[in-house]
Amino acid sequence: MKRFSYGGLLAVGFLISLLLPWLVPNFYIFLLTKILFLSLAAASLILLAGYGGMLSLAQVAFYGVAGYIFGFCSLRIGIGFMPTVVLAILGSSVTGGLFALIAVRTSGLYFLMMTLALGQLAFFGAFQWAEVTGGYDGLVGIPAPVLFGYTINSGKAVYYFTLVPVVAGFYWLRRLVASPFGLALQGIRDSEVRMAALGFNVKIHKFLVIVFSSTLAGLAGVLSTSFYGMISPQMVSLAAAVTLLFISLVGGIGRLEGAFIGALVYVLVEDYASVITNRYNTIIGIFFILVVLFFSKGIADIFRPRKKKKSPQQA
Amino acid sequence: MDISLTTMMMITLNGVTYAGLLFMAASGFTLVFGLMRVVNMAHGIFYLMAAYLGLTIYRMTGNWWLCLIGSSLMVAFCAYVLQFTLLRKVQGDDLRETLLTLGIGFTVGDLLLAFYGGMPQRLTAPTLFSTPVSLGFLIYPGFRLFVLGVSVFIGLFLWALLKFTQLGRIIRAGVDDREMTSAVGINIDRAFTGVFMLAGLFTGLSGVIGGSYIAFAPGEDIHVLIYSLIVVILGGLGSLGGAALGALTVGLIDSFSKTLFPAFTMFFLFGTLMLVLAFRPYGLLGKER
Repeated sequence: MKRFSYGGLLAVGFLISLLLPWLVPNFYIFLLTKILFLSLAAASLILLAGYGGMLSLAQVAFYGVAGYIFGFCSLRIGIGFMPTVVLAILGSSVTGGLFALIAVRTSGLYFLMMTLALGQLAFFGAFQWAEVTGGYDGLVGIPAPVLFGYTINSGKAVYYFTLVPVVAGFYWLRRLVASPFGLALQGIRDSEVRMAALGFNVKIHKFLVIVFSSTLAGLAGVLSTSFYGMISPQMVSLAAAVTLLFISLVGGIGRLEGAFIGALVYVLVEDYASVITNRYNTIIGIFFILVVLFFSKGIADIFRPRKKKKSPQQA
Repeated sequence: MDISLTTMMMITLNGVTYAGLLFMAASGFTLVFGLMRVVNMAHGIFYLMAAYLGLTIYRMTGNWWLCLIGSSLMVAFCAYVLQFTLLRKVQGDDLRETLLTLGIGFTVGDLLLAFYGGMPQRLTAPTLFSTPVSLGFLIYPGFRLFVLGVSVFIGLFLWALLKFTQLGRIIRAGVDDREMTSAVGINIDRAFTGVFMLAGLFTGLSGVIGGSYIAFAPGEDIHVLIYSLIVVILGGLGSLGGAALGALTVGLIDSFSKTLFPAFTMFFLFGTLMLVLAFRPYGLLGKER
């Protein structure tokens, strides 16, 4: 049987995502929107961890910086919707850039610990800098976005409002990882020394990918903050970082589109488990442990055709 | 702000005793992460588990010393089970170790919340320690001095263990070259499991002692994990003296900034960490490898 081309499959997926809100009840549109911005946040992690080889617990910090700037500006400073969004995303890129200046000097475990430190700094900052962040309660009552004179507050409108930047983000990411930059990045992931010997500037590649990744995480943060109409320290906590890791890992950290599958699984598990029990975090945690132990390439890997292993005699 | 000499001494002493608690809490982490390079993100949950187990034992028996011993032994056993059943499957793979232990911390944390609720709790230390001690120039809480003493003891014990005993030699050899060590006929897995249990024991001790020092609640595990990480990374991985230096730095920064600029404690801590790593990427006393 001839297999469909992968690009064709994605195009079909995109068409379905355009039609979906007209086919499902309102509550599911809500869940679908959540899947969209979560998968963008996870994709920013997959870019960094899967393609750049830099596992990060700081994505929630970038997510949070953008979310808080977006919330603060919409509530306190009236500069219009688009400038607020640009400012928020710029904020996360700059944070990412400053962080990257120090972080590119480290690698492996030390990098991971640096990201943990940044993530926690954001978390405690959100608590302690209460005049700006609203402290424990966070920023609430952020008004719905107004685009070209229309207020975006119905379920379908919010869905499309989220879909467009997410699809654009994914399209850009796919182009990025296939570009010479993306290929060099994957080379650096596999062997820093070899790429440096070939004349690639390893540090600049790492710097740029951290900035790109923080920018995308920032975009996801803006979408999420505008979706919930609020942001609180909980969204920047280590638990949130673990959630993001869960999403990336379940979908498969080696493939950008895995983020959609991961987000879908996460949102469904969270939604259904929270109906049955208060301990849905336990269920997600156990699920997470099982995935790490048995499906380290993500559960999407099950459906991929297996390559037959050559027996030693044949080789 | 006008600070008298006595206040200054008080803040310094508070910092030093807090450093003792930090070193105690981080000692298990130094062994597992610093020496064996096993990324144990579930370290904090061991601490919190020890504190809560201590609470249960205290409610049943009313004896603090029994809490201390019982709960450390139980945590050591949990560490053994974790290492033997799960961690061994992913050994040597940093990424999967990180994710697995994060998942365990996440799950156990949620279960502890379900079982003990979200209210802050505190263990009551024996009256022996609640009497203030006169140090000549100031009166100081006895319990804090006890904490400092225990941490100095743990530090000396670990130093002697690593330096002079056969187990210590095996560990140092195994850390440097795992394959060669097992090739000369040493059961390196067993030695590492032993170290993991020892780390669990110390973390358990620090959980009960720390739980009598400051109140604990769900989320404290992450606090402990972060502070242990800062201590170990600041000092340099694999260096016991580094961990002590790291604990002292963090303790003093914490104590002084909490008195002078209470809102910015975390910024000072993380700022120091980032600065140190920017100029000495392997920590204060760490060696590049």
